[in-house]
Amino acid sequence: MLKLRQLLTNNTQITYICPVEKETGLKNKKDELFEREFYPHINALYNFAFHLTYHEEDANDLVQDTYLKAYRFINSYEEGTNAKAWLFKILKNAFINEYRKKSKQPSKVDYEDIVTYQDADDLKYTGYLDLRQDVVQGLIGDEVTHAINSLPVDFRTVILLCDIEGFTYEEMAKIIDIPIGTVRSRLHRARETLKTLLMDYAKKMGYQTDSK
Amino acid sequence: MDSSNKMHDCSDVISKVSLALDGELSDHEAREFLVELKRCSFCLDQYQIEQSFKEFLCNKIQRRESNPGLANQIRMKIAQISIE
Repeated sequence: MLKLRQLLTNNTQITYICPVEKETGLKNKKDELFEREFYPHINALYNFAFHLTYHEEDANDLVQDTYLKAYRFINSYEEGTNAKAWLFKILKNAFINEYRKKSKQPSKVDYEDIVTYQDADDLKYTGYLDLRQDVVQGLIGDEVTHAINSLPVDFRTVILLCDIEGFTYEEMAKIIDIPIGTVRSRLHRARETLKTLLMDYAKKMGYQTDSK
Repeated sequence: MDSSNKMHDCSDVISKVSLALDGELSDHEAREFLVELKRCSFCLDQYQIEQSFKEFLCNKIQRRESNPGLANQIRMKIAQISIE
């Protein structure tokens, strides 16, 4: 303290940042980062959360939890990198760790446990739903959403991340925490399963199959 | 299928259809893929079917938007945490 007084009397200019101001500065920086990089993704996160939970309130809670966790662990985020993928990873983990447990649903067998493993390189094309037929194009959003909802959550996730949000395989691998090869094979199986479900709807509306 | 060109391998081209549509091929691979597609009407047909499917999903899956107050609710919660 004496030293400080001496410095002041000697008319030396010093900059003193008190701990409270320093903390406020960090908080403002965090808030700015949130406004600039995180909040713009709130609708995409909500859409993902809704398709995982099918419940508006749960989706709200999940998005809220995601942002709170992001705030708490902000130090592990590198500014200017992929904020959207980072937030999606937090949301996906929160869903797996908390919401699926809360829902008290009987545990489902992972679809991939009962499907014979097929290496991504050996994937064969099995598409037989011709989306160019008018009757298929005539399916309404509700029917397509219902078909998506019928998919196992792991399949639903990759379709939403890839086809709706446009994430790359590499980003998806990081979000879901699986190898890229598994992303690819899971995406393939998810799409084929979805086609089968959509074909069931389309058949009811007069879809004509000429193969399979 | 195009049998006139022995170098063309339908199964190889078709295995890359999803990669091409998902933007996972390098520029070089994408150019090669395009050349192969033009060589074979069967492969081109399969590509167009998959392309339609992807577009179909993008157009038909209902996008839900968060309610306008959600961001503010989150801001308030974060402000509370900061105070505590």
